[in-house]
Amino acid sequence: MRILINALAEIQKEFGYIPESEIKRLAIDMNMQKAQLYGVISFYSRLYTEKKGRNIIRICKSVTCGMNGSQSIREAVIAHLKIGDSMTTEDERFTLELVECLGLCNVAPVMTINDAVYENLTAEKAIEIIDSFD
Amino acid sequence: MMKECKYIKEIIEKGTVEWPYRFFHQGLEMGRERCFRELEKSGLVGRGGAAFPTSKKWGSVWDTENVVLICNADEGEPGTFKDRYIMENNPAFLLESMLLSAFIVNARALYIYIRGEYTQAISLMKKEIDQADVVLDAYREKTGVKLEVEVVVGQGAYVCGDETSLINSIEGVRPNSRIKPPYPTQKGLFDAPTIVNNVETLCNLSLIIRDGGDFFSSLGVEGSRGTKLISLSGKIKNPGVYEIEMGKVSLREIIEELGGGIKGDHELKFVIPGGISTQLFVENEIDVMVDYCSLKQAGSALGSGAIIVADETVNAVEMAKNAADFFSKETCGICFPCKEGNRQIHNMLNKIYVFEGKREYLKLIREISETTSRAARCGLGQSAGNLLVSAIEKIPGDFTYYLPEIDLDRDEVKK
Repeated sequence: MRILINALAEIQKEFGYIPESEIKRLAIDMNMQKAQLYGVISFYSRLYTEKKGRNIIRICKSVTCGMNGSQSIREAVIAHLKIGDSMTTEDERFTLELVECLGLCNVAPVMTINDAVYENLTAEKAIEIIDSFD
Repeated sequence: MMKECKYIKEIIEKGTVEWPYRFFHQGLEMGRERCFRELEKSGLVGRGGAAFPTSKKWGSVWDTENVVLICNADEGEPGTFKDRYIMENNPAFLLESMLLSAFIVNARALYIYIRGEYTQAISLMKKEIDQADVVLDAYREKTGVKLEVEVVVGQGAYVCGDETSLINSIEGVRPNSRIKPPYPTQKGLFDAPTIVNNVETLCNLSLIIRDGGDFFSSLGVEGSRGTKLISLSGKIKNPGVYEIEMGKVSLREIIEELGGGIKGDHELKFVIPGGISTQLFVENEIDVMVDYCSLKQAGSALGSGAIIVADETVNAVEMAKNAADFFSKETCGICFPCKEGNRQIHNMLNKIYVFEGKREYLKLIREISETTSRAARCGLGQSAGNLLVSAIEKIPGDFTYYLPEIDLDRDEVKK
């Protein structure tokens, strides 16, 4: 049996987001309305219907990271990239997301870029890491 | 110096390499009835947060066919990372515990729902399942069921940790929570009787089969049998996953002896004992024993076992605002009290934080939280206000500092 959210994740893995054309195709495949599919996709914070930057930066803002200084990291990254939450840089290099708990509280404050985890961050370290990405 | 308990941790860290899937094979030999009797004797309750007796849940589908078993690895409660620790360190142990459980409940389908953030855990579990042909063959030989283990990857929705939302998520509809009854055990995934259990709960089952229910229930105290994995984080010297025997260790001992105390030169201010859905304790309340009953009697809960420690530099209003922000974003929005209640609480806390709050807000927050907790369908809404209300009650100074009309010496409070 085909599980819808796994199918959506696969499409996103291929295209970087879930394009309209794929939604049309999936709607036929799964015998669903397009609107139903959009309804499902829009519920999840990790599924996108619009193109994102080449690298997705996720900075945790939940309680433990908050106690350990994630606010200053967020502010520094926002100032450095000149974009806000859920925005993409003009050169499409980065998308920034301020997210809820990543489950990495033992190494807070934490940021992930794509699938890589960066632990025990400081604002300076975060900027340095971000600058090392293309 | 207190030594850390290593019951479940021993297996997770050392592995079962000398005899892979031994607990599973042992269960097959014992047969499902005997396994279930051991489970009944053990007194195991669910480790995800709700603490529901596992044998009661499993017993309710005992004679039904087409049972679906889902392992809930959508660990989203801020402060919790114990299930990630299990999956990253010993995926085989979890898989065999899942298969053993599937055998006991006579499941015809087995799922594991892992949150998308846990990329390493996902790939390790998938790899383990891909290599499990031999053990799946043994399963088929014994039961006649050709079991497939499906990995479903969550895509960032805290509410999917609720079992009914999780079921909707796998079904491919919007993962709103469902009204109970019918309970998932009656009408769950695609209407089949469905058992949803947390990662740690299923892992405990392997230990019950290895050591027997009597031994398992000799650990811990009445109502809280066995051990509990604790995710310790916050302003603590040694954050990490620790194991404790329930009812034998106090919150203070966990913080001071296992966690090494507060980081740096600061004093402890408050402790959240079970994730941000539970009431906090201030310094003079933390000699409470850590088990389901003791924490409940003390006015909070063990929850998922996420202990978050705050020192004096942590502002209770910022923390409450953070938690309210979380719940107002993560509510699924299907039931009105939760959707609107959390939004209003969030708005009021934001106003308080910029010195625009009113005195009655504190009372209103408490009232809305009370209403939401009574009227909400699922655990999210039922527990969303616990932390904030306890923060207002126990650390009033932090709040009144932001409420200038309240007649208090602000400099005094700021100290």
